[in-house]
Amino acid sequence: MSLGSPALAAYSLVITSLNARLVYHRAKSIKHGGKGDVARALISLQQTPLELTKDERLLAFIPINDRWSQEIADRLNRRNAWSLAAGSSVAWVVIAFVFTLIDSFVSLDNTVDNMPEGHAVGTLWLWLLCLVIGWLWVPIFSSSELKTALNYANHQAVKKAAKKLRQAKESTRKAMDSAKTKLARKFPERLGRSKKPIGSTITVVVGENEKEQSIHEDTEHLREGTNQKVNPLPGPSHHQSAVSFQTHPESQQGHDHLTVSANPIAHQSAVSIAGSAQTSINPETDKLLIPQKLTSLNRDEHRLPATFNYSRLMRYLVLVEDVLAALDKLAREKAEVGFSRKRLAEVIPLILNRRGTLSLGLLPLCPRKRRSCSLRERSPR
Amino acid sequence: MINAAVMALILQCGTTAAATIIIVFTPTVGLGCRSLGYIIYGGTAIVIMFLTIISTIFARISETREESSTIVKDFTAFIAIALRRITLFLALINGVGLIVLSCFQFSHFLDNCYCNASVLGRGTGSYTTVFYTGSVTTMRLSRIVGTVLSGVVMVIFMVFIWLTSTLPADINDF
Repeated sequence: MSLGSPALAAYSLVITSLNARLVYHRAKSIKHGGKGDVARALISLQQTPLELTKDERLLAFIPINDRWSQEIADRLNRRNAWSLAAGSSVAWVVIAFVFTLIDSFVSLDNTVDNMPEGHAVGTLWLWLLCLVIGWLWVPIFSSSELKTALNYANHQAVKKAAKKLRQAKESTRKAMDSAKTKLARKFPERLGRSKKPIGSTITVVVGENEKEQSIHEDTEHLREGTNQKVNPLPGPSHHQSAVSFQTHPESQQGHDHLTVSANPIAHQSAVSIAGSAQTSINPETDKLLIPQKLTSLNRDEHRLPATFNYSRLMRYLVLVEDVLAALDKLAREKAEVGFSRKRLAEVIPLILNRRGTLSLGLLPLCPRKRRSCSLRERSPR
Repeated sequence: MINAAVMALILQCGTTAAATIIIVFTPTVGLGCRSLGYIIYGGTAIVIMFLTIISTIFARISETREESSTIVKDFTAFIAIALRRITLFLALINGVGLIVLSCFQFSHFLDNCYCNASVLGRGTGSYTTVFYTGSVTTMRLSRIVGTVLSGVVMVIFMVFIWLTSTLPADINDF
């Protein structure tokens, strides 16, 4: 293909090179620690058609500490491929061409036979020299190299995500358990008064605004007859609120409802926890970067040499935008919400210590539904 | 995209034009078999490049359109695939053509009366040159121009690639 159209090969080479610059400049404006690795990984990934996953649980694992970008950047960080063999080949071509030139000019004195065949053909083929040197400067990887790095990085990211999910789930459970125990200790009379049976349900809802998702966890019996329901507080006040509890006995049903809203915690863990309740991450099928399927429409995109980078241009630009946007989002969330799951676990017992005056700590946290913020008993009807 | 296309055009045109200049101004001056071959080669290469770029654009349109607009999807997909196949075929022919042309030149297959007389360009006014004595200056000039042109184009292209592929060092300490 590049023999048939050097222009196309040159076009591919130049966009490969220009894309690297584009990634660099786009990444520069993002305030995130891992952007260097991500940028270097992106630059290396031009040789194969990829799309970013839409799975937000995995998206939360783009940053540097999650090895994804580091792996790719480290494994495919061969920017300058000059070797002794490549160098001497190029030198050989250059020397041969120089001799041809000399011959061409010297043979001008020969007035019978001096058709400049060598000179003209050499010049005609000169683009090849430029392209070969260009290919040595711009990183190009073999398909096996790319595949190994991608698989490894994908696997690492997914494994990491699954592990974080487990941890987050575990810490949520611990926090809720401790909250429950404290509740039981503080208000034994209330819990004991209910006559409803058997089993307590705690529902933790973590998330952002509309995209609330929940975990349901059946826990062991606290005391017979307690149904604790932990619900989110609706409304935009969520962004300011950290943790709030509401209890209001619905006496018609004879249940005590305990509402815990934990918002916002770091988006990352929120999404992770939320996700873990519904589906677990499967390291075999879930991938951070999804290789594209081969169809008649994008068959060229699977061809590896840099000559075919032109066919991947559009998809690559979309990938760059997606990855950098996800990274940017993470960075901004991190800056906004300095509230981690650990702190949530610490805060819940602290608040519960204020027996009966929970509202004191919680007032600013849920201004819109102030009444429900306070922990107080209503007389049963 | 446009930058890249322009750079590619510069490289392609530069090398092909340089080779053509050298051949055309070697007596008999005029368009002959060799120079026509060069021009066809360079022209086809450029056409292939543009058709391929158009093909990728159509492929992307087809890919990103919603499922509902089947007509647009199918039509753009058809154009993209057709263009891709056409360009691949053209590139194959062009590549083979380049090799064959080079072989013909070096095996003196084109060193015949018809080609040396540049009949293609000069028509009935064509003639063959036996002694080059009078046109050495033209030939020397044309060879110098050709060499300088190809050299300059090469340097421009290489410097461009060098500058763009060398990223600022601070990408490592972001």
